[in-house]
Amino acid sequence: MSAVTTDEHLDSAEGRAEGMSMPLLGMVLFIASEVMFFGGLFAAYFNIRADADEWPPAGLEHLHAKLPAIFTVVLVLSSVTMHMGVMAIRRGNVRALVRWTAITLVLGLVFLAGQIYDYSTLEFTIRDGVYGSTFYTLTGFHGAHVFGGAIYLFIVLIRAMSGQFSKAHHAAVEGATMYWHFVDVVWIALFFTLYVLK
Amino acid sequence: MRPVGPRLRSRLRLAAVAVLPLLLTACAQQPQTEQGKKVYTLYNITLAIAVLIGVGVISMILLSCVRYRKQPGDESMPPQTHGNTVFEVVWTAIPTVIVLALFGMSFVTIRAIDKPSGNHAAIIEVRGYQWSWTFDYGTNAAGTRVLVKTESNRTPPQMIVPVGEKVHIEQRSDNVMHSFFVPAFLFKRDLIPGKANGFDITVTSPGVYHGQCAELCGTDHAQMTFSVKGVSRAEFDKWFNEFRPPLPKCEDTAKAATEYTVTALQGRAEWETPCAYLKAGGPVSLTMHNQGGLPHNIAVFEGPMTENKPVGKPGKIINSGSDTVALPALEAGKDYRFYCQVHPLMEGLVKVSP
Amino acid sequence: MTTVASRPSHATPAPKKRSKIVDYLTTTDHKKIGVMYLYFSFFAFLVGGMLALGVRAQLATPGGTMIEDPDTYNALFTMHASAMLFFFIIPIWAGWGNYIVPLQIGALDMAYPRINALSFWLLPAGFVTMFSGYLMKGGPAQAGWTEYPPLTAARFMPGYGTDLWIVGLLLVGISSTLGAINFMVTIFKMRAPGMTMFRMPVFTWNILVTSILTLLALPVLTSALIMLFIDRNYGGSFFDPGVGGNAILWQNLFWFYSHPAVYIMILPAFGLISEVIPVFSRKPLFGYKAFVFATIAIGGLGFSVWAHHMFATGQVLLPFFALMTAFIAVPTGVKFFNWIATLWQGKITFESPMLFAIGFLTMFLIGGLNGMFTASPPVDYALHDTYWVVAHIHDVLFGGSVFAVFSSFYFWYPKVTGRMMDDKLGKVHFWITFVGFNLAFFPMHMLGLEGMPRRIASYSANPQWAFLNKISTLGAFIIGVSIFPFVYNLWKSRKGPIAGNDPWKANSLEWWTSSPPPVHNFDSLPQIRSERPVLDERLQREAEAALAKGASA
Repeated sequence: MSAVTTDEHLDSAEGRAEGMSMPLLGMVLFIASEVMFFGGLFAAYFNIRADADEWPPAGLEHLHAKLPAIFTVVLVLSSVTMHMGVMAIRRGNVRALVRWTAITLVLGLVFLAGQIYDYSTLEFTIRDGVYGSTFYTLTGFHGAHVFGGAIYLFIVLIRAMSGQFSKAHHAAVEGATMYWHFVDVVWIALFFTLYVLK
Repeated sequence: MRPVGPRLRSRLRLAAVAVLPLLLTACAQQPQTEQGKKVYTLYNITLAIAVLIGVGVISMILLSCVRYRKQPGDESMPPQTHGNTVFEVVWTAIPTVIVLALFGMSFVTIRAIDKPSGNHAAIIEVRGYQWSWTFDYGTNAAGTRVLVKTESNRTPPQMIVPVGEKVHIEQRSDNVMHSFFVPAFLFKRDLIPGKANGFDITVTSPGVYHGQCAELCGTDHAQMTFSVKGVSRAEFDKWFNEFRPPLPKCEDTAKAATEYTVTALQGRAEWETPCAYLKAGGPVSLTMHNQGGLPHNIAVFEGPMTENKPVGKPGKIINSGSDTVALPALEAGKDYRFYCQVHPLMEGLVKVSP
Repeated sequence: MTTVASRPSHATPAPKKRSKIVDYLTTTDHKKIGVMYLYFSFFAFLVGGMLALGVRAQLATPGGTMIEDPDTYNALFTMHASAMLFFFIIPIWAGWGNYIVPLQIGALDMAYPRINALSFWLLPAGFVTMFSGYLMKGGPAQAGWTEYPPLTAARFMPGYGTDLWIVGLLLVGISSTLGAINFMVTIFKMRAPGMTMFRMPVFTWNILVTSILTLLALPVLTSALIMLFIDRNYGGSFFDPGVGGNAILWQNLFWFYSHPAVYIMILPAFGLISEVIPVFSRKPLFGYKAFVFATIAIGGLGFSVWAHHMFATGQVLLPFFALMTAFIAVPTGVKFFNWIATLWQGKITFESPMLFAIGFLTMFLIGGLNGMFTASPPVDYALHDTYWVVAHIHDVLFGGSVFAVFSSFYFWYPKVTGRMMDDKLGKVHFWITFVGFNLAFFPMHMLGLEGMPRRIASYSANPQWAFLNKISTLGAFIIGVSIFPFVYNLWKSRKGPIAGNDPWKANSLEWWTSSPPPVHNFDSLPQIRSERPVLDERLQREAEAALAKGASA
């Protein structure tokens, strides 16, 4: 007796061609690993914060949230504009894609500039105990991800301008959008954890 | 059913021989504390179950290998069984029951040995250093601080406990992680910088039990040994009340000068010789030469460092090289000592000659 | 007649002859990358093995006279573990995964061939970085492969060795993460028509679960490594209790990865064993679906047991982690029963791959059973950080993973090279390894029970441990000797008998194509109607042949 089963499950390539495209699935998995990376950093932060007698430690004020709140709005807005861009290319509108990507890129850079300015106003450094270590590591690694995302957006922009994307072929735009949303979500979590939560 | 062949029987015998050493291991360490005895019982139950499962499963593997080996010339296909739900449910259930039973027993034992209780015959604070221990019992009736540590001849420190009484061990470290491990107690617990840890032991019979650090703590981790000595109550009280902190003997007074250099050994928390010979009467200086590998400084105190009577200013903490401290005039016959404040175990005697 | 779907050839014809070395350096072919993984990991195995012999030579006498400086000894076992875990066992399964998984699911290549090449090349880069510590003042990392702070803080462990270890491991981490994504997308997206998830070979299933574990666990280690690096180099204080940091935090983050990492090392071995046992018993794997679910269960439970490495710290929730750890025994037990039921009523032959698979069953069983002791917190109080744990890890990773690695070499060598390995030499190799393994690691149980801590350079205070240590050292050197017939066999068999497509009468798709497979993997594919398409096809042909014979007669 052999183990031959019926042919009804010849599900095949079509089954798999449905759903997410290969590049996009790769991006989703990559983002999953990034979530775990930030999960490790957040776990460290909450662990240390729970251990501390005072937070922020004596001698330091609670971080001012006003300016970062403005930059948070900027980053959330950039997520919206990027979404507009991807919606445009899904309809095949390349010119709108270029416009929205450029706006997103500028907003991203404004956010980075804002973060650097915010750093310059702070009275503590990464060397000043756990408070400084956690703050700069978490925001620094987020900043690095924004920077990486900006490079990605820049490449998308160049490719869009040279007409490489169309209604059918724009996986890189979908990937960039997804990544940009992820970076945005991480920031919102960081903003509430570091600046708002008392 | 086919008869069991002689070849199979010899293989089963082989399997039994292979399991024999496992049985022998049960006798390796006899527990010497009440808590250890509970662990020992649990260990033996686990061992019995493990041996049973091990012998059963290995026999099944060998049996099927022997019984179902392909006969020469037989090219037919064996029955193609894909599974059997009843069997599969049963053999998921069996290990589940076994592990739940073992977990239950573990849980009861944890509660029995890790339960904090109020009545202790003594509270001993154990501190771990790179690479030795101190056992601090507090002060005795005579006002002497009973602090046991490595003596200058490098004999490992010995913790003395009364037999049959519950002793609480508090654990502290302000450097790296260590682990307090006495094999005969079937117990260890880590010393963690920044966290208070502790446990109870009740040593059941007199004797000297070897202990050592079980958490890698750097270069001389292997040398970080100690012992626990169980003694009668009377003997313990006598030792506790007559405790005198041991000090190095420094007899080489001919070396006395107004400037003296002591050397911290390369990579070790140890002085080359724990003696400094200085002249009485006028200002003198003491130089520490650090051969490197560890940070050290030198500080001179009158009496034990814990009494906090510094003489002169403590030196700088340096990773290598030399550092000199200037000292005011010292009096012959007084008890001066020098320490590395990074490694308080590095204690030496300042011998002052007229 | 069975329909045979033919595929267009995607092979790019080589325009001009390139040297073989340039070809391998620039390749994106999953088979060549797989072979490079195998070469590299086997090299790391030899390096790690030499370091292990150094460790054993030192411990043969209580005084430990071979190595004067304990730091040198500490570096020895640290680098031994690092080489074996990060550069041998994990990547060698990535190597076989690379070579075999696309073949088993009927794919042309991995999903992202260039990222695949990058994953491989990051490994030697990580190896060179980590081992360049030997050229630095102060030597390489020497705080054990667990690198617990505060011992690894800059003030207790100065020098570049630890930093190079961190950076080397970060590179390995990127390599593994990219590899995991690649495997997952390949398996989800590139299966041949008819290859449903529940018709995938078990090896592929196990590589899939392994990849999920890597993807979700490894980034946490990455974050911990970065924090340690910041602590050491930029004045951070994550793990420094002096300024509010938490030394236990490292252990939590480290084991959150490193416990699943144990499954990352053993699950592919389970997969391989589950390919070999059915083939050499001539039966299907008993309870295929239960086996797959058991693999998934082990993977899932793997995320909730990390703190059982920390029972002796007294800082973890004992009952929870003890219970979860105990539960791991259930799916593992299911696997054992499945394997035995597969053997049962089979027609078993004992070629070298099968011999190593049976060796795996018996030796890994010991590793599972002695793990039961340390899963119980009170017993772990006695055994943690003693040689019992060293015995356990080697029973699991040598008796388990390494036996499976050898089995995989004998099993798939014909596929990779087109030639058979010498079976007699293989058996010699097995028996020397088996004897050496038991002599080397069984006495460690007893040493652990007698209280010998791991990671000590000498034991002058306990000369009674010397006898068992000498036996263990003897065993280690026998293992060392066992490598020679294996390497000789690999070399000599390049001119061995021609293997043909399917020398073992096996089940899965890699045996359908030629040995070695063409650049594009398959000229044709059979219909896939079960998890054993090649067997189905063979049986059908035999039936047709018998029918034709009957008709003509």
